Amino acid sequence: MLASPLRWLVRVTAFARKELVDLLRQPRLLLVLVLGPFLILLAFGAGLREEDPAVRTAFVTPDDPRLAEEVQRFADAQSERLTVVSVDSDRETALRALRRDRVDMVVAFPDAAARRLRSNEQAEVVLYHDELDPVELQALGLFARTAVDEVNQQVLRAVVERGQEDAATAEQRLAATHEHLDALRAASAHGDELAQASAQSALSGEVAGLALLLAPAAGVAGSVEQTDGDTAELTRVLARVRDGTQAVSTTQSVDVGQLERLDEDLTQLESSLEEFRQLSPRTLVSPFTDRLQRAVGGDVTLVQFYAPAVVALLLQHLVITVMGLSLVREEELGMTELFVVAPLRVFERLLGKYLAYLIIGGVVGGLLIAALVFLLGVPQRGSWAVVVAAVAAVVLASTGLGALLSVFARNDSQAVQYTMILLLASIFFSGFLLGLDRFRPAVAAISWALPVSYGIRLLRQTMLVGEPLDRAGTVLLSILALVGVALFVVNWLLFRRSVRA
Amino acid sequence: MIAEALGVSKQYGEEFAVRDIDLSVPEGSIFGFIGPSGSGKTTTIRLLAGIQQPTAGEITVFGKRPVDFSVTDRRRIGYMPQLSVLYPHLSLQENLNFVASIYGMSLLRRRHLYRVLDFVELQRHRKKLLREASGGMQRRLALAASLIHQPDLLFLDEPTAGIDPVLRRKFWDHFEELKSEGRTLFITTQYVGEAAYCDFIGVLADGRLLMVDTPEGVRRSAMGGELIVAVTDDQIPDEVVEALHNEPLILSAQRNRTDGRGLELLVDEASTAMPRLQQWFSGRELNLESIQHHQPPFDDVFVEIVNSERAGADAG
Repeated sequence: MLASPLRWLVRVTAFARKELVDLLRQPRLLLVLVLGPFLILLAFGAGLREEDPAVRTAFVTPDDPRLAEEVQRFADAQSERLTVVSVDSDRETALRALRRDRVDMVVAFPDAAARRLRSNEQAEVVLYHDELDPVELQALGLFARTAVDEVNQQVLRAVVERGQEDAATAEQRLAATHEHLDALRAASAHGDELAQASAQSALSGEVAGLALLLAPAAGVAGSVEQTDGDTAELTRVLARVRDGTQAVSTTQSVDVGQLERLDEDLTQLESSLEEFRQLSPRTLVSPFTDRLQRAVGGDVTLVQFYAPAVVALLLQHLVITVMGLSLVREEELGMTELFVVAPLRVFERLLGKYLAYLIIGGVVGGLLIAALVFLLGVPQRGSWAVVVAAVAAVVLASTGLGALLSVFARNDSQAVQYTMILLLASIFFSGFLLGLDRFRPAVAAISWALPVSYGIRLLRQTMLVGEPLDRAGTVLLSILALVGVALFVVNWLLFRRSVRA
Repeated sequence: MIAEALGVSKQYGEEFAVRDIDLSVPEGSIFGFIGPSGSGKTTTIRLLAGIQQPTAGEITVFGKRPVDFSVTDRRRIGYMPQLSVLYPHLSLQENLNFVASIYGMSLLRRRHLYRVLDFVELQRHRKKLLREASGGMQRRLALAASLIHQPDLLFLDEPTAGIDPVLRRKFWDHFEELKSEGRTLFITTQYVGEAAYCDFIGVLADGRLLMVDTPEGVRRSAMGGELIVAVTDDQIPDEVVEALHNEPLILSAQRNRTDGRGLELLVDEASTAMPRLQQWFSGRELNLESIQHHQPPFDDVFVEIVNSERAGADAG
């Protein structure tokens, strides 16, 4: 017989070896356990579309040719996200098509939109849909709001374009204004009161007409005043020209200085108008555009975002299932009777099994991560050591959960049911589908009871962001490892109590 | 005594699995525990092996209560459960190797492993997976697993259940061999005939231990003495039968043949009674065709014991 520590080692490794051989002897099970998750991962990566599915849309416009034209222009400009099926004025036909699933959305513009606008009322665009999925609906709503904003901007762009056309006309009138100003200056210099009065009247009339013509352009330019001081210049210069004209047109003794200032303002107005005409209507209506850029790490595609979470989830499910079933089957077989009679401690049996599943989980985890990085092109921007530590911690804690589950399961089928419940909980609460911040604190406690929640965060942070493990990450990893150790102790006590009973 | 039970009962709720069991297992013997299915044999063996705790009474094995067993004590015990409990996906050798490991045996044990496999005649099947092995092979492997660490005391729960008579015989030869090596075997069986192979037997029915004795002692107790069967050349007259009843040597006499030539005689001890009976018959000018000590099968003995017990219980 061996010395005591060696006997201890022989007993522990006996369980580890037995679990490994037992698993290797079941190639079909092994195939399902290792190849299965990998194929799921592959199908997930290859099958997930990066772009949102196209929304088949029918537009309903009122009998307003101008609005119909705008909508048609908008429809023609849309990307694949929105497939315009029809632009029609018959709302009922469009809604019937929605009910028969020929379109996904109907965008109905209101009747008499122009009249409402004139009455200082917003015209409401109604979006009919048949979407049940709340997440998809949220995306659809966002998309619809963007589309309506786009129509609004299109209308505004048309206004700007008209303003710019008016500005071109105004330039011709500005030349005439200059001529009337020159005439006034000459009449004033010669003391020709009659000619002066005539020039004053002509100047005043021309500037009034100019102001009327430029009102829309000045309005548009004024609306941009908040964001661009230069563009607001047009409004200010036009106001100065009006005031200056008023000053020189209502007096008999014309001040030469005033005439010079008015001349300068007219020249400046000319220059501002030229500048206004050169501006793009799109820039004027939408002075700001947006671009999202990650502050840390590179961009991440949808597949890349989900891939580490799938690995964590599969690992947890795999280890919980095999560990749980292994213990339940030993109980069902009656092996535990043999263990009670033998000089075997619960600690040794449990440690041996943990060792086996750490090896199995580690190998499967390694293969899956390698497949992600080298086959699916998921970035591995962070430290491999942290990835290894995260996988090990997930496997350790999951092994503990599997053992705990076996304490409560009376047979194989109960164990499988429990693992399925855990899988379901993991999909909903782990951050796999929805971010953990979306849950209320009480429910978030469920999330943090699942090893996969830690695994998902750690793997995403390390692989996708690539920053060194920060304080929060270190805390997560430490908690997960501690949970693994605590579960070992709890299982040890529970199994010991069960053997004694 | 290597194992003893004193007033041991095991209760599940209101129901007694075994009640007031008293027994002593001498070291180096084969102790057979016989009883029908559900009589409490497995419960008793589990109590003795320390798998379960008694509700009442006291059990000592190696002079200790099973709950106080040390690792060393456990290494001295071999246990073969009633059903095959080993791993179906492991080969016979791997299963045996695993059990050897949990007993902390040296890793240099292949030769010993082969020897044990040879002992149970599984050497050439050692690579077969357990799930592909026959029921008989599985029982032999379970026996090998209980022997692998060379225990002093073996608890074997129905080792011969469900296997053919030839193999059963071989098992008992193995048990005899183990006994000759100085080991103690506590064996439960529902094959009453196997009682003959034991040094001591306990008869169990309905959770009660009805009798503990040597096989002969049990037979004698069951029948009330020993049986002699005599056959004469001619028909035995009634007055001869009457006269036999009055003989102090004879406990009872009754005819056992329809031609009137045979008698079944119950005596205290057949070996001393037979020569005297021969003299008695020749004195009455009755020629004996044969006279022999009859040993009724243990099945009959067992039925007699159980029926008497139940009749006693009903009368009580």
